[in-house]
Amino acid sequence: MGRFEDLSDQELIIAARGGSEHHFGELVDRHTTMVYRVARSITGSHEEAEDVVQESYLRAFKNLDKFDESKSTFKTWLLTIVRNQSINIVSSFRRKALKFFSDHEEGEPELEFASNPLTQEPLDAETQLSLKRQYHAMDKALKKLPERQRTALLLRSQESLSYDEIATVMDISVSSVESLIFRARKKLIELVER
Amino acid sequence: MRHIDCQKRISLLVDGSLDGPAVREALDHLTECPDCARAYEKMVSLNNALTNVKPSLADSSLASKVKVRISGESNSAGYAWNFSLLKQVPIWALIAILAVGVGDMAGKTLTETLNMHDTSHNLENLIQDNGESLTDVLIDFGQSENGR
Repeated sequence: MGRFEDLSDQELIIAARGGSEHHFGELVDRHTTMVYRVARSITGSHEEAEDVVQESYLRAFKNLDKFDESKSTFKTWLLTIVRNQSINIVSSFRRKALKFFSDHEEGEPELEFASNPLTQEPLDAETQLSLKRQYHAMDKALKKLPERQRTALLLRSQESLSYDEIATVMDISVSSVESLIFRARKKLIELVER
Repeated sequence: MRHIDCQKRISLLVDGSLDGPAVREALDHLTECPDCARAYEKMVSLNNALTNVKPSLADSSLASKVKVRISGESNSAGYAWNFSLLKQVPIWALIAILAVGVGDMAGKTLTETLNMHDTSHNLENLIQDNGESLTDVLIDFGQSENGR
């Protein structure tokens, strides 16, 4: 159990700005899974997502003084960096060239299952297997969505960000977020039903 | 309301992003419109599928890797800070320090300057320099010690 668990992100940032790596380390522990998921959903690759996570935290640490808490939360600021880093990787010429010449198949990711909403206990093996199948169908369909739709939907459904937070991360209006999520859902339902 | 607008509202309803009266209005519409009711069910089911299973990290090694890199970055930033302090010393002060140092050495070789310490005189008193090699000196010293 971490020593700084009771501290808010803002308190950790103040200490980290004073030079405490340990306080920044708590922020890393707190957000890495979310950051990894977002990077993975954009890059579609475990290795690239890991690179993005490392580079994004390093960038955040170096630019901690530039973080303006009146404009965003640490979470949304970090996710903005992660999204930009991921997009840079995906659109890089080197990456496109590697993808073109390589037939590397992305391995199956580790999956995290929600607990039973009524008992709060882990789901039984049979339900997990069925959810796993459902996930793979969904994952395949998600990859066919445009990046903006996919990111907006996953930030809402998997990371539980509010529409305002998603708008900050993606630097668009709230009504654009509403449209992106709606279109993503509509398209995803069509793809899964095919 | 157009059908497309209605479905957009359903998406907001799934997310719990509608306020009180809008929720009631949307729910009333679902009882009247079978198409929208079906769309709502599908969106709820899709949302559950996305929420119930998500990619995860098998272990905490990624967070550890990040912390190691941050630590490395932090240390190199520390050196940069020390170096930047040195940069803040005015150039004329550095020239003055250098000039005093050179002035202090005036008329002496570097070896003489470095050998100014008392221990070098003590060493000369202990072992006289007669032009012998170090091995000869050590053999003589050993023999005189054995003779005692």
